[in-house]
Amino acid sequence: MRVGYYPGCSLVGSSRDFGESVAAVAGALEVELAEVPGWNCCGASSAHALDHLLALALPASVLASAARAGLGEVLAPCASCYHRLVSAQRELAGSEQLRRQVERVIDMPVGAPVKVLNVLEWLERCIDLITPKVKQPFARTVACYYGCLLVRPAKVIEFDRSEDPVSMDQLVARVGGKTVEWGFKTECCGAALSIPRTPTVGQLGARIVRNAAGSGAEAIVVACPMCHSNLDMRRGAIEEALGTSVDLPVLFITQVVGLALGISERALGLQRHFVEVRWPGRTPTATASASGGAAPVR
Amino acid sequence: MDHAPSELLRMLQLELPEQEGRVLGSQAIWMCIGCQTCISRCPKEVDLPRALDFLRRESLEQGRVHPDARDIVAFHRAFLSSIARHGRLFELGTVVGYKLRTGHLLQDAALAPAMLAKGKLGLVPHGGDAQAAAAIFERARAVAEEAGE
Repeated sequence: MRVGYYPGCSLVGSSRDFGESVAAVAGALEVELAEVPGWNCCGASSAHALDHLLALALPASVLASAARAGLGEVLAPCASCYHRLVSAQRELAGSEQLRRQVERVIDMPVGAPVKVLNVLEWLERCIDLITPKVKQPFARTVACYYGCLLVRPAKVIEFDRSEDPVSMDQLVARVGGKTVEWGFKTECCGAALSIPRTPTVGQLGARIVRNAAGSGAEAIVVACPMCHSNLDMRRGAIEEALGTSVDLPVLFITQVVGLALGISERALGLQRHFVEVRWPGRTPTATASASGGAAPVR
Repeated sequence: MDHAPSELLRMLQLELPEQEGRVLGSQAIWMCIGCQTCISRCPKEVDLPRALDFLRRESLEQGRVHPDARDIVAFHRAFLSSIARHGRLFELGTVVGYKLRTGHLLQDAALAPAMLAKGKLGLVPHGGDAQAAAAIFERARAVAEEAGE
């Protein structure tokens, strides 16, 4: 099997662990990830805040390159990339004038429509490849955190249920895990305010982490690099807002599936987390013992 | 946030220049990060995220950015100039650009070594097509000017 692949900037940068785990899972399932040739940044949240035409042209350039390379479907694991690609596609399909302007900017025809897949959609599709290969059922109880951009706005994204999505919970169940009912599945983590408003991101993350921990989860599972870094790398700001420390690791869904497939923790990038994955019976790669290892770097 | 989103819309509905000025000079328009919750729940499907995108660009153009929001604008600018220069986001360069624009030189100083140790901070840009990106930015400017945006 072969699918077009748009890693986006985070997956080759600060969320390398997401990129590594996507690649490791694809490898185990014998799915070839065909990278969009010469891809550029989608513009994320900054382009649409400052420049409408760029906010359309940057994703359009990615989609046009994919179409030119004959890729009918493109996996975009980053929720923000996914959202920008789908939104731009929808907006351009609705305006002939905008499409013409954008084609001048990218100096290419927009090209044949490309189906953009988010990581949950892609894993769902691969489920019949995944289940026979499960070697170590993921016997943990987790809180699935979807965030904003995978499910909203429903009319544009048309994926899962926007208020109470279930696709990630179902994936976790299929690889042997349990998921909790909790209230913050689709609350916002603060996304790009991470740098200009770190304390705000700490407060938003505090509510999410507190609710997940209070519902009995052993970890939070995410499908977005911004959600991951705001809940993991920004745990210091979260703990400042909470006034206490919370030992609740944050895993990418591809790491959960990868662990169940028996892929090594290192290949899945687990050692890159700030909040170390410390479960009963698990010996972390970086420390000597599961219960009394060195404090994770925060 | 100095105004709730519903207040911003009400102020605009009044069509009074001083109210428009308050909206464009508000901090609130920069605190919205487009989580899309409002439009998803609004029974009238008011597209606030899009309205706020427009208001932000107007606020910038008219030089009315709220003083407390200048660092947010600086972040967006640093982000875009990184893409214009490299084609892909170069995170370290973006953070340095943000620090230079805002003077927040020591912010997250402790985070960088930890990120480096975990392999999460690249020291060189990762393989974008710089020339193609520069051309897209240049043509976008030309096309927007022509369209009178």
